Amino acid sequence: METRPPEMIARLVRALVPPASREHVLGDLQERYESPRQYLADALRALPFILVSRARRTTHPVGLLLAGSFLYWVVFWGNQQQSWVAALIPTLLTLFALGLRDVYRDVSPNWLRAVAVDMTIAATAVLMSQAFVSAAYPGLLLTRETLLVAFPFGFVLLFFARWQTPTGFYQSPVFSRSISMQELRTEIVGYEKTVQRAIRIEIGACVLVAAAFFVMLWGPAPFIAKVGIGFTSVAALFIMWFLYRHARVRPTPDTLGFAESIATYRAELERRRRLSMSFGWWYVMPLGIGFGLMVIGPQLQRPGSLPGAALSALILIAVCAVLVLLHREVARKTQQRIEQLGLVSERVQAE
Amino acid sequence: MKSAPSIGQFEQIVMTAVLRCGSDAYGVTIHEAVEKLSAPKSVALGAVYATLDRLEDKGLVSSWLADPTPERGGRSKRHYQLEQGGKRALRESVLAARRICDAVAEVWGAQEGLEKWKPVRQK
Repeated sequence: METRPPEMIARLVRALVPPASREHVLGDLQERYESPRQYLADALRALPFILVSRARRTTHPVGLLLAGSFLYWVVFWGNQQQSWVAALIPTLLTLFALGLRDVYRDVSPNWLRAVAVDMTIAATAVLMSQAFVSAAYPGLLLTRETLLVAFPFGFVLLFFARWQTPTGFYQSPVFSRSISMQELRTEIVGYEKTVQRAIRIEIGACVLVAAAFFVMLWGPAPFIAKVGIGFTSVAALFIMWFLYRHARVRPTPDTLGFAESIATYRAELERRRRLSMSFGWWYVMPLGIGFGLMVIGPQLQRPGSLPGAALSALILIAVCAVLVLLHREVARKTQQRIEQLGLVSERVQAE
Repeated sequence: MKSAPSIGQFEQIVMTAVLRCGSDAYGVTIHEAVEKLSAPKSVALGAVYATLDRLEDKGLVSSWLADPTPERGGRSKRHYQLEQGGKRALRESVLAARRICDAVAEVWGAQEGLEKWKPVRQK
C-alpha cells in the first residue's frame, strides 16, 4: 500500500500551508495518511484554522486599524469618492493581500524584495478590482485623481513604512530549553538588521521632513502656522539627532559564548524597551506640538471655528495616543522576550 | 501568588490531552486524545493546532521541534508540554468543574443519575 501522497497533491498542500507551520503540519498529515482523498480532505479541513491562527499571531488589531485608516483616507481619498464603498473596496483588498502575505512570510526573507512583492501584489489586486468595478458597477470606481496621484504616492509611503517596520514577524515564546546557539545568533542578527534599517529610514525621513518644512517657512501662511512649521522642522532635526545618538544598535559580537551573547542581547533589548516606553516624549510630543500649532492655530484665529479646532485637536490627540499605545505594546513584547531569555540564562548558569 | 489565566473548555480538553500524552505529545497524538475526551463530538486537527498556538502565546504550554523521522517523510514533530502556569490553570479549572459537578448533583442528582463527586483515595 502507498504510504505517501502523490507528488502533485503533496506539493499543493505544501504550498498552501504557511512556512512557519509547514514542518510539523506536513509531518502530521503524512503520518495520518490513508489515501490521497483523505490526505487532501484532512489538509483542507485543517488549513482555515492554521491560517486564522497564523493571522492572529502576525497581525495587530491597532496596527490594522491604523493601516486601514491610512489606506481609506490618504491612499484612496475616502472623502472624495461618489460613495464610501468606492474607497472601502480597495482598502479591504489591500489589507487582505498584505495580511495574507504576512501569514505566508518566510522566516528569514530578503526584506526589500519581500516588501516590493507585497506592494506589487496589493497594487495588482486593487487595479484588478477597479477593472471589475468599471465593468460591473461604474459608480464605485475611484476618481481619476485618486488613481493617478494618491494611490501611487500612498503605496510608495506604505512601501517605506513596511520596509522600515517589517510586519508578519512572530517570535514564538521561548522556554528554558528550546533555543540553540545558532537560533540565538539568527535572532540577534535579524534583530540588529531590522533595527539598523528602521533607524536609517527614519533618519532619512527626518532629513526630508526638516528640509520640506524649512522650505515651507518661506511660503504664504499665517504667523501661528509658520511657528508650527518651524517647530516641526526643528522637531524632525531633534528626532534625527536623538536616533543617531541614543537609538543606534550596539551589535552583539559573534565571538561571544552562549551566556555572554544572551546577556549582551538582553541589555540591548532592555535599551530598546526603554526607548519604546519613552517614545511619547522624544518622538510624538515634539512632532505633535508642531503639527498642532500648524493645523489648529490658524483655525483658532478664524471666528466661529472653535468646534472645528476642537475636533482637529481631538483627532491629533487620538493619533498620538494610538502611536504611544502601539509602542507600549512593543515595549511589553520586548519585556516578555527579555524575561524568556532570562530563563535561558538561568538554566545555562545552573548547568 | 499570581492567579492562573482563565482557560476555555476546549483549552482545558487540549491541555488535558497534552498532559495525558506525556513525553509523546505532538499534533497527531494530542488530536487522538482530544477526540477521545470530546467523544462523541469530532474535532478537526486544525482546531487543535490553533488552540495549541493560543496556549503557547499565553505561556501555558511550550513547544519544540524534534528530529525528523522517516515515517513522517523526513519531517519533524512539534512536541508540547505544560508549563507551570498551564499546570496551575488546568488544576484551577478542574477544581471549578468539580464544584460545578457537586452543585448540580445536589439539585439534579436523583432524577438525572448524577452523583456527588467522590475522590478516589490513593492507597
